[in-house]
Parts: sequence; C-alpha cells; structure tokens
Amino acid sequence: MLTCLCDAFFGEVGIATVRVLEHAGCEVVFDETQTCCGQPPFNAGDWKAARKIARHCIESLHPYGEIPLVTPSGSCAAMLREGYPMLFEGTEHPNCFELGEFLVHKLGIQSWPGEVSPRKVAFHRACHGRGLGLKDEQERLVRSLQGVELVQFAQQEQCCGFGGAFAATHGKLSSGIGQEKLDNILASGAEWLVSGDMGCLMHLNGLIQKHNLPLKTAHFAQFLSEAIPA
Amino acid sequence: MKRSPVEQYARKLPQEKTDSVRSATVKVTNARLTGLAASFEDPEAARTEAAKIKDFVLEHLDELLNRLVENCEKQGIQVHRAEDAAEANKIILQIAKRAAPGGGVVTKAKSMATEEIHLNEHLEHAGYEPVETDLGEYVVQIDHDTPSHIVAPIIHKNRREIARSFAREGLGDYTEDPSTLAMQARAHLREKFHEAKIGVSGVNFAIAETGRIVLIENEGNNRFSTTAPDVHIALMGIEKMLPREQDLPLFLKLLAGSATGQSLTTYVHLIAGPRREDEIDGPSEIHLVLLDNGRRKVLAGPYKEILRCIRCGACLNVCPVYRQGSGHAYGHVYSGPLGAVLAPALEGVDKLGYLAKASSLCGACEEVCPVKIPIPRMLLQLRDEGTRTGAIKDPANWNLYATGAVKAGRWKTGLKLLPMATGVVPHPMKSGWGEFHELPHREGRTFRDWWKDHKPTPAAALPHTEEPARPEKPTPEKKDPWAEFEAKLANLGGRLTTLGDLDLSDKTCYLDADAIALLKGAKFGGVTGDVWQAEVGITTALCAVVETGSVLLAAGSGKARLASLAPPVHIVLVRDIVPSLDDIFAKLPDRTSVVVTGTSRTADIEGVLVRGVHGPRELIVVRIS
Repeated sequence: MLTCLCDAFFGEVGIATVRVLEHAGCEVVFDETQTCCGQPPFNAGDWKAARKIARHCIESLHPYGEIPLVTPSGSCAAMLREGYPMLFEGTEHPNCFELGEFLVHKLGIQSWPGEVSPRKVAFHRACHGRGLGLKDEQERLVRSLQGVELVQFAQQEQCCGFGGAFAATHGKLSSGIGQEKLDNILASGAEWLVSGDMGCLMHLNGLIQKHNLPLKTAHFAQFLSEAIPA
Repeated sequence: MKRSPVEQYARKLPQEKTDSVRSATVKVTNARLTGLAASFEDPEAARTEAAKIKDFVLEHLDELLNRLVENCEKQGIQVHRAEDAAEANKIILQIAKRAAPGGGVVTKAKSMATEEIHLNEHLEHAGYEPVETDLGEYVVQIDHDTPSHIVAPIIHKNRREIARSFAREGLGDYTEDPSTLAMQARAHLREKFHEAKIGVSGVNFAIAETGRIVLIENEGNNRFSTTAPDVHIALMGIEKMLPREQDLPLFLKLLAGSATGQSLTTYVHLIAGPRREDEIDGPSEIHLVLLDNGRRKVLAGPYKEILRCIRCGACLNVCPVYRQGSGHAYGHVYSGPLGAVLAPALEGVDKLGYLAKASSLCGACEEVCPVKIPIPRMLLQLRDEGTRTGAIKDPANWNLYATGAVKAGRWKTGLKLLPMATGVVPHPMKSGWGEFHELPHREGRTFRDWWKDHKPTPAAALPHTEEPARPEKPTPEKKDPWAEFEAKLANLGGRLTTLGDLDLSDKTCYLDADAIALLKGAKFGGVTGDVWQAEVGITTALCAVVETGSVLLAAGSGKARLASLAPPVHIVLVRDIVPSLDDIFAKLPDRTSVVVTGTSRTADIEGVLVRGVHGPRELIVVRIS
C-alpha cells in the first residue's frame, strides 16, 4: 500500500519501499486502483466518508487475503488494524504490516548491511507505532547502517504534533508541538531527521522550510534503499 | 471557519506559561516511569489488573453502592445521594447550616468533585468562608483563578507570581523561596484549621466491603481539614469505589506512582467512622455525599471506560497538547485527554464535543493510564458522534475527498491536477496549514511513473540474527527488613532511631496514651496536653512497612489523631514490621487509621520539594523491642 501522501507528494518513499522489500527477497505487487485507506476523514470524525474509502481500499488491496499488505506508514497500518474494526464491526484481523515491523518480525531481519555517507541522525518514532505495538524496529535497521550515527534528543518519545487535520484546524498547538520537537533535535546536533511516517515528516518539513532550519529529512526506507549496492 | 476555543486559548497563552507547564509535566512524566518500575515487578500487569477491578465496579455499580451505603452507615457515616450538582450543593449546605448556623470557615481539602459542582461559590453565597488548604488550591483561590491540572493546580504559575500573591494577601514579606512561601501558607492556614467547624473533602477510594473512605495526600492539609473540624463532609463521584480492602494497595501504588512517581503518598487516610467516645479528636459527624451528575448516563453509553479514571493526571502530563496549551485551554474542570473525553461525555457532545478534536491522537495518554482507558479510541468516537449530530464541523469537505478516492480514475486525475491545486485553488485546509507551515510539494519522481517500467531490485541474503536473550533477573538477596525500612525512610525525609538515642530534654512534647507507657522515665523539656502547642508529637504505630517505608497509625482510646500531624516533629514508636502494604490489613483495627510515608511535603511551587508544609517536617521512627 503506497499511501495517499506518497502517491501525491513523496513518490521516492514508495520507490525506496519497493526496492527495500525486493532486496529483502520479496516479490512486490502494486495494485494501481489503490487510493487512500480512509484515515484522514476517519480521524476528522467523518466516518461516513471514511467507510466509503475503506471499502474501496479493501476491494483493491485485499488486506484480509494471503498476500501480506505492507505499507511505509505506521498510521495507515494502524488504520487497517485498529480503525477498520471501529468502522465495520466484527471485521477480522488484517494481514497488514508497517514496513519496519514486516522486515524485522515477519522476515526476521535484524540489521541492514550496507553503507551511507557519514551522517548524524535523529530518529523520530511515529506515534502510531504505539497502537501497533512497535518498539525500535525501524530505528534498529537505521542504526545498523554503516555511516549512521544515531543521536539522542530530549523528549524523544513525544508526538510531533501532526495529527492529520489537527495540524490545520489547531495550527498553533500543532506547530508549537512540532517546533519543540525540532528544537530538541537541533540541540542534539543532528543533520538528519528520519522517521517512518510521511505525515510526521510532511508536518515537520513544513516547519523546517518555513523557518529555514538546518535539518534534512528522510523516510527510513530511503536510507535503507540508499545503502543497497547499485 | 470558527477556531476551536482550545486553539484560541493556546494562541493567546504567553510562552512563559507553556514553559512552566512543560518543564513540570516532563519532570513528572519521567518520575512516573521510575516510580512505577520501583513499585511493581510488572507495571503493565498491574495496570491490566487495575482496569479489570474498575470494570468490575462499573458493571456492579448499584450492588456495590448499596453495600457501601450499608457498611458506611454501620460505622456511623451518614450517606446522602445526589442526582446532580444542584442537589449535592443543597445537601452540603443543609449539613453546614445545622453544624454552623452562623456561617464561618469551611476548610477544604483538594477535591475535583467539589470543583465540578462549584461548591465554593455556593458556600460563599450562603455566608460561609470556604478556604482551600492545599497549597496549590489556596493560590488558585486567592488569585480567583481555576486549577489548570487535576493534581498540580498551579502548574501554570511560577514562583514569582506566587510570591506576589502571598505578599498581596499579607502572608509575609515578599520572597521567591518556595520553602519560605510554603511556611507562610502553613502559618496562615493553621489558624483556619483551628477555627473551622466544617471540613470538606473529596474521596479517592471508598471500599464497598467495609465502608472505609480513603483519602490520599502529601501535605497534611487534607487530614487537618477532615480531622480538626467537628463535621467532615466528603463528596464522592459514584464510580470511585473499590470492591474490597485488599484491592487498595494496588490502586494506592498505581495512583501515587502515576501521579508523582512516589511509591505512596505521604498520607493515606483510612476513615472508619466518626470519633468514638474514647478518642480525643476527630469529627463527631461524617457525611458521605454520593454524586451522580451524569455518571450513570456515561456508564450507559459508549464512553463508559472513562469512569475507570482515578484522577492521577498522568495523561495530562504526557499529552503534547496539554503541555502546549495548559489545562485552562480546555475551559473545563477536567482538562487534558481525560477532560477531552469526560467533559463532553458528562455534559454533552453538542456542548463540548470540540474538545475531542484538540488532540493529535498520539496515544501517549492510553500508554500511561494506570487503568488503561482507551482514550484515543473514545476521542475518535466522540468526533464521529459530533460529526453525525452536526455538533462538530470540520473545515474539509471529506465527502468530496471520498468521492475522489473511491474511483481509481478520479484519484489519478486528481493527483495530476494536485500541483496546480495546491498552488491556485483555495484548499479548505490550506489557510490553517499555511499559517505555520510551508505547503508540501511533490519531491522527485512519482511512484506510479517509476512503477511502469521498474526492474526488480536484486535480492540479497540479509542477516537474520537472533534477538539477544534477556539476562535473567538475579534473585534479590534477603535483606534485614529494618535495614531496608531505614533506607526507604531516609529517602522520604525520615529517620530511624532507638529509644536510647532519643533526646527530648529541651522539647515540649505531646504523648498519646500508648506512648506514655512506653516512655516512662524519659526526660522531656515539657509535656503538654494540647497538640497544637506541642513541639513534638509522640505516638505509637501498629507496624512499619518495608515495601514503602511507611508506618501504620490508628486512632484509639486516649489518642489524638492530630498528634501525628500538628506538631512540627512527629516521633512514632513501633515494634512490628511487615514486608508489604498487603500485610497491613491484618493489623488494621476497626478505627480510622493512617498510613504515613515520610514527612509532609509539597511540590506545588515549580515542582520544588518542600517538607513540612502542613504536617511535620521531621519524622522520627523509633524501633522498640
């Protein structure tokens, strides 16, 4: 599942995801009729619209089928695993995984061989990992890359403040939380901010660009993809 | 589009306030982790167990309430039932008018339930002088403010503001020293405790099986408020019961650990009826007012799990939105994630549903909740209910979005037009987003273009290392219980000593009946029968508790409860020691008792720890053999 954000804005993350999965020995199928999982209206409270989209998603991606559905977004995976049962009572557990979760727990990969140019990296754990029961799966893979120095920063576990439409309807609160996160990351001396969810990164990037902050961002799949030998 | 009141408040909030709230909440959130890890071998299992017990209470609410009422009445506590705030206020005023017809001081222990019914206004209107005696609540009251946190009411204030308020009220010379400020409040409120005929409190837990009312606190003001006056009125939300006394240790440790990171609060007041004839002090009347005020309605609906809440404040402390906006942003007695569910659940989604929108749904609240309330799930349900009923409006047209997202053709056309759309068309979300962010733009290739002629990436054999096995926990060495107790006590500001090392030759002491016998032949600077005048209060304890460094004291014949509270130094003589809090119930008599864990303390002023705020600043435990 590409996700709507990667479809609309961040194609490179989708590309990196496919490369990483293939490098790990998977055959990747992409259904071109896929659109969105329905999370934006679901979070905003419009469950009628969310149900329409969710039905389309189920039809095109068969999350309850045999082929595991992998997505480079914890929040989209959480939408299918936790949101769909709220939209449709009695739905079964989908065969759907966040990318890092899939690599570590389904494929048993504990580290990612390869090298990237030396860089200081701050890793932001996206909050939807909480619901999925994720721990340091994504981080572990990033840390294992040669060239990456992972730095710690204050209040590392705190949310970035995105929250979907919340970032637009509660802009001061959302950006205040995001700014706090960026201040803490910048204080750690990191040059890169890496995460596993493009929602968080779109929000933080919007703030970084608005204030011209010296911080580059990437999805962790992009780092893993970069380390794959040409 | 009209901005949410929560966002509006945050926009006007000075950075100084956000900084106060953030530094305090971050500190407590960290303390919580350490505290719970020290209290429980498996905090996760403790939370699951606590959630189960609270669900049992909610499922058997009426049955347990009846049992509680019956057992309270057996021990002489008068029980009243109030459907709503108005009825609760009426009941309390009736009791007050009988007890003190001419008005006068009513000392108040910190209670969210009394905030919920706005009791102070009603008392004032009827000619009484309600005095908040918790340090934080006192500051709130003299500043005509409202609490911005359910545990730390003045989390939004710094010491300079508090210093100005105290100087203005004539409590003493201007000082920014938290300890001196706390002592000024101690001196001022001491007079009020002496004067009050009525004390009002909330209730932390009530035990259905025994009818015991449990109040917890750190400062000592709560025990003062409910011990010194002749009448004690306790207001309790009907959901705050526990079935059995043996459930108590789990909840006491979870609540203290989640709220402040303590193993136990300084005082756990276990009230078992009014003063007995042979006792020296304590209220002669206790009234328990059971408050519904919308709770049964919540219990019958989709948000019933919110009634598991034990008011620890952990969800407020960890919430990024709370940290930014402070509790006042929510505009309700109950703020933060708890308030965002409880307030609309109690008062209607039509009125307060917008609070559910003031969340990034990060889920940190559920992760820290001691009773595992699924707050994020309920915030989503509230948003759904609010949208369906028209109570909440979202600026985006999601129906239009859905129409585009259910057909692959429309979706792809939409994506093609997107670069133009974000540039030209006034997107409903754009104004809110663009005020603080740069708009996102397409970066690099599109996935769909790339996919069309992509060649599979070569697979490689990747390392599948086993996860390292966790080292087994070494079994702790058996330690001497008294040595372990001594170490715990020292951390809590107390000390352990022996009779031989006790020198009281220059102190005026108050001795309770049991202590007199044990201290025969000791030299005192003086002996007084007035606990309020004594420099040292000497009491006996039923046992010491190794697990928490506590001592268990009980009211009894010829004993004054205030002997352990009013004098600046409390000496407690104890012979027995038990390993854990679970073991105290075998020792607990059928009288009002208190578990004392360290010295009286507060951290209301900028989180700075001050000892001896209302109760003793010195606690000396004397081991006798």
